[in-house]
Amino acid sequence: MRSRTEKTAILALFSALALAAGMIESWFPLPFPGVRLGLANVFPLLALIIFGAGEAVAVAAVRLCMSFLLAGNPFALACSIGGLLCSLPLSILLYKKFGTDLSVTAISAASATAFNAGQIAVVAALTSEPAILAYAPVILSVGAVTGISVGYLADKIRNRLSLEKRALPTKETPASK
Amino acid sequence: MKSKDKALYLAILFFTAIVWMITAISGGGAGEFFLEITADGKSIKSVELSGIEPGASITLHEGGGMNELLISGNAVRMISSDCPGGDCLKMAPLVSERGAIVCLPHRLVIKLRRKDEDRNSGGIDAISY
Repeated sequence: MRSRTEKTAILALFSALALAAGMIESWFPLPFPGVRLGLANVFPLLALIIFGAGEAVAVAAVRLCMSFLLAGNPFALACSIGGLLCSLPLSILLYKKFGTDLSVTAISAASATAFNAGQIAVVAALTSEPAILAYAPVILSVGAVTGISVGYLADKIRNRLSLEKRALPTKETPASK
Repeated sequence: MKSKDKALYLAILFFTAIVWMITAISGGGAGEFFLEITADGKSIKSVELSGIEPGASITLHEGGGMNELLISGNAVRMISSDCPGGDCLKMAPLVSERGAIVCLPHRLVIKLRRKDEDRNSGGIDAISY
């Protein structure tokens, strides 16, 4: 059993890194709205494969709230919530049910597709303008590719960290240190 | 690659292809268009594209901000906006009734519509997710 403190520290680190990755990414303007590499998504995914569903949701939620507080863009927040409501349940389901038969990369690709579908649905609903869905094919295609990259990266990081396999220091000092 | 990876990739491909097909069969084609500008769901301006000389711009003051549209030939694009994200500036120029330029912070939707819209030919009529 991993110590609570270590877990808290790692999850806090993941949240902070996700926030930083998202902000760095926003400095690079891309030719198409809604298309991003989504590097920040590496961290909820890592939380899912190292810890579990609740931890993944926590990292995603912390990052979402923090980036809203820092950037203050309610529309980006609405889009992200719409995307996460689709992608998080899907990736958790895929990982829990088929985790042994599915690679992290494939789960991430599916999750990115779901995220983009949710996001574009939110934009279409907010504007009550179904014509915006004409962007969907491009966003979904690019999203699947970025999802694969993100999944590949998460897989590599997981192996490097080898948090799963590492035995914890057993001689932990008592809490009253 | 694990055993079920292929199946999942195929499912993603299939989903994307279906969305692609739905958007491809609706709309498209050349014709006479008029420019329709909606703010907060209400149509605020509707101009015939052929009546505007190329290079003209339209300035909009909606949703507490400013947006400027440039009409060049049969294409319309957003050239300036004081919204925080500036996503509308990155959107592809409008050339047909497919697609729209959207400025979410100012609740603006800019679309091209065909003149004979009565036939209900343009845009996507129904899509479900």
